Amino acid sequence: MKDIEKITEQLKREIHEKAILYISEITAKYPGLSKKETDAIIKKLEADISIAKEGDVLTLLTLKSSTEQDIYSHIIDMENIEMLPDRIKIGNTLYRGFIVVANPQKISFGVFHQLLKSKNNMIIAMHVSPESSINMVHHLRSELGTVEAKLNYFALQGKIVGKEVDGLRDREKFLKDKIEKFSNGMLKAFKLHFTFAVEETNADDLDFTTNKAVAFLKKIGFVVKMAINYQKDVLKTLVPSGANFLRRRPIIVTNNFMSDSFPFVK
Amino acid sequence: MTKKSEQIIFNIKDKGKGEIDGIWTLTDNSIFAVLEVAPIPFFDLKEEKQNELKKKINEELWMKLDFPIEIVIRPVNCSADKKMAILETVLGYNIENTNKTKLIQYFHSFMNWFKEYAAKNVRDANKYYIVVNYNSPYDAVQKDKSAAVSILRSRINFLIKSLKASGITEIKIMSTFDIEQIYNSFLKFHVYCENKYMFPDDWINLFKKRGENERH
Repeated sequence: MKDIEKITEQLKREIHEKAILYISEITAKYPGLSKKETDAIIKKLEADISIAKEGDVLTLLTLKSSTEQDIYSHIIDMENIEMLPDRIKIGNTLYRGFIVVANPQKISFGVFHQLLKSKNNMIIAMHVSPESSINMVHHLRSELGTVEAKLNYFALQGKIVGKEVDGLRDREKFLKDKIEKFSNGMLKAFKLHFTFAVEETNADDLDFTTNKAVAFLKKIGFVVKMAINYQKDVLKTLVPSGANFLRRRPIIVTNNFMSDSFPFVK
Repeated sequence: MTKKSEQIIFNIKDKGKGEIDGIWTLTDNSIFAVLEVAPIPFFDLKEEKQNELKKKINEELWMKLDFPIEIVIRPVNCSADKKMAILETVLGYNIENTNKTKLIQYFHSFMNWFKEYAAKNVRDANKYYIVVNYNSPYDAVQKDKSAAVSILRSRINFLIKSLKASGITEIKIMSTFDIEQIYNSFLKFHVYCENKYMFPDDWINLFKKRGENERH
């Protein structure tokens, strides 16, 4: 028994030096060993050090590579995807997506810088697509027609002053000004899709950060809607690929709005 | 990225390796490329300069832009401390349960190194990406990819010129590998340091290299 232990210790040193050992080498070196004893030695070697037995060869698995592999496999195991109506969980990260359905007329420059500065852990995607000025002019002319018809109706009724008429006259002036600017190329329109997602590690933080971000957006005049049941599409839209997987009506903005929402500032 | 996750999340057809590095094709046959830009230190400028810059952004970028783009702002290392704590707890628990003494020891030394490394290198930041794509309604991408690629290239060149005129100086066209890393960052636990997304295999390689350096 003592001899087996002594032989095992010698073989351990040998494997560590050479990283490989043939079973035939053991029998050649220690001719007095029976098959049972040789098996016992190999079993002991396998229990004490990391070795792989393949046929007649014992290969030393370096301690480092096997443990690295173990750690790596544990980390990889954490990657799993769970879809829920109001969030998506990937590994240990939760995402909750929401979209903007209406925008304010005007925003202050660098507004998204303020939003990002306050550590809201928010991913923002803006899909910007130029809209034809002719389409815009047509759209505004049709709206102007409605306003003028209303004004004519009031004039026939004998109403030429009053709150309602003043409001319509202001709208008429505003629309005429816009039509002129779009026709002259002084204004340009864009179709814009705003998509947001909050990224957090637990549900409480996700709720807190979402509420904080939504409150901020509402304060500056955006109308926000949670993308319930569309979380996967939100995430796909946020990944930089140019594609928009959320089929919804865009918001129409001008170049002035786009300049103020220019996000590449710090 | 596992194949399963790739199928669930993205609709990638071709990652654009080889000749057209950095140009990806989606399953709808649209092609796209990604630019990374560094933001302008706008709020450090004087009011006069700020107004000048606003005018330039309007005139050079928005008034001239005649194709669709996507802007993505992605915060990196947000809640990195919390993620690290989860990693240590969950991973630690699983590893302790294996009862492999050497593995547990190795894990603790790895975790100590990782925490030290993260304290030095992991900082909150925002990454700014612009996606330029080309999506032909007549499936031209499928029939003649080179024509579509040349249209996309002209769009990229135009955008770089416009952004530079708007005051943005640092613009980088992302390679296929870079884009893949961004995609992975949505799916895998990572930290952003040394100007790249780092995933478990990167940390372990770094840890290994550090061990080698110490031995030398």
